[in-house]
Amino acid sequence: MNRQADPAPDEKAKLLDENEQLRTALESSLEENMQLAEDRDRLRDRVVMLARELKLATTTFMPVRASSDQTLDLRELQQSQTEEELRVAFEELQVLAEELELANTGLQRANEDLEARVEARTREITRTNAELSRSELRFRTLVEGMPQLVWRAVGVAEWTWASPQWRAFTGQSLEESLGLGWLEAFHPDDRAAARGAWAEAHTRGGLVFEGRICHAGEGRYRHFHTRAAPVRSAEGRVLEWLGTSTDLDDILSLQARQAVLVGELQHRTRNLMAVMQAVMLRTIKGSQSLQDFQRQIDARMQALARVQGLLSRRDAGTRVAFDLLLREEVSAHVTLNAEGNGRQVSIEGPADIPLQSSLVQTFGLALHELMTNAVKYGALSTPSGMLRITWEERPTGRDGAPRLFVDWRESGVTNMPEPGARPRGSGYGRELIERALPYQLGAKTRYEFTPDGVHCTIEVDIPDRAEVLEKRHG
Amino acid sequence: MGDLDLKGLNILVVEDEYLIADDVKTALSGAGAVVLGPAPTVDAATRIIAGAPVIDGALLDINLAGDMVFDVADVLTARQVPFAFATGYDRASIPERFASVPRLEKPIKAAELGTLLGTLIGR
Repeated sequence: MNRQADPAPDEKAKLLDENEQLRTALESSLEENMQLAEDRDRLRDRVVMLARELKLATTTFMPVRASSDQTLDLRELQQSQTEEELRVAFEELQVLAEELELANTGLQRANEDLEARVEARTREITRTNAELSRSELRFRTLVEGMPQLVWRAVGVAEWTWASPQWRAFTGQSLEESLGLGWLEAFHPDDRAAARGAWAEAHTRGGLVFEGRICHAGEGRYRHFHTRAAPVRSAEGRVLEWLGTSTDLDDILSLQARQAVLVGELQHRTRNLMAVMQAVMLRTIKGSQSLQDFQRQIDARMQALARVQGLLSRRDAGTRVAFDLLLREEVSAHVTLNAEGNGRQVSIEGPADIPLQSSLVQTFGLALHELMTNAVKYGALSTPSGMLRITWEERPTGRDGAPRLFVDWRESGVTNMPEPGARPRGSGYGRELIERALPYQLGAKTRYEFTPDGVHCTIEVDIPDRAEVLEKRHG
Repeated sequence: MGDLDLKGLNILVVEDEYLIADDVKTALSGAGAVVLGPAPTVDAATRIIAGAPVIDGALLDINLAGDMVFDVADVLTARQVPFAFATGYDRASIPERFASVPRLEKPIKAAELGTLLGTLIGR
């Protein structure tokens, strides 16, 4: 963090202010100190001079007194004058000495006081500095640890600092991001909005806007929510702006995905109801009695429920595999072992061949009708009957694309209707196979009565394994 | 379809689910209409429209095995053919330009279908 990143500018201003006062006090104390020292020196000089005069006066007086009496009067006069001077000088000296003493004491007190103040101030500054550096450390740790891109600005949108995350995300250097440089990282179409938001940030007392920021690593723009709040002085003046840009891209795509899923669910539910309505109408038409209707509609609703179960149990984005659909339907009527064999049934083919999701429901219903007919009139209605279902991939699609080829063969059935005769039962299964499957996904189907049982083939496109969520089934 | 008379009208039906398409076809035929289609895909619908000199009205399922029907709707609009959507989608999924197109929610009631088409076509 550079020097501009120190926190609490207010606190700093206050400290500077107090230090200035202390400095002034210190300077005036020093000046006073010097004045006192000068006074003291002057006093000392004066004392020295007076002492010298006194000594001179004494030595002059003594020999004069001893050598001659004629000049005594004059000498006495001189002497008394000198004595008077000395006395005055001593008195003066005494006063000066007292003043000096007083000045020294005052000076000492002032110095002690100053010393104490400096010491206290130093302690306080040390403590505040430690506090500041702790708070700065906290600030930096917070800023560099949070997922948001953090930045600071002054005036209108003039960045003074960008967090390491900003630099890492956008690939800009600190210098490139400063001033209005940060705008370059935004999508060209979103820069006007960013400028507009800044233009009214001061009057609004805050900055808020949405805009895409280019992710240097991914080489694409991601949606961001950017906001900033002013940092104000005690007087309410805006010192700078502290801002964050939050990545909304994942949330937005999740929201979009959720909206798609909700729409899909609604669509599927409505569609399923429409299919149930259609199945109901068919069943009414093909029923001889209410009891017959109840039995048939019950079986068909269960078949639809099994298909819905398969569709909803699969993992997101995957498809229902044919072997799963077949096994589910056959198992609803007869018991199969792990190898796909039952007493009169064998199923055999590769696992995991995916089915177009829009086909699963109709395919499931068709298999249900085939099984129902086999149980009622076909291979599973007689002990001698055998149902053999095999499937494989064949390169018969467009440009040799693989298609699923299903072979349903019943054998050992006596009393088969003549070829071309009216089907036994409702004919619903046959309609699904011969008309619904080709209609819905270009399936090629064949359904025929052979002398010893039904033979049915179904050939459909195999879709890509992964299902694109947005491409909804209808 | 009751007493509704769609006699001789050419009605295009676009619906990918066979069972529903067949029911709609039966209902419309029962009211005397000539059903064009039903078409399960956008391509099939486009081919039918191109080959039909007269189309009096249409019923369009919105989602056709993952493809949206709106291209077909645009062609019909250009030909000034009145049509309605049949769907499980809410209005928000339908583009703004089709905001005034009537919408039948699935499952469709046969009577509603006939009444709506009759009103659309002006019978």
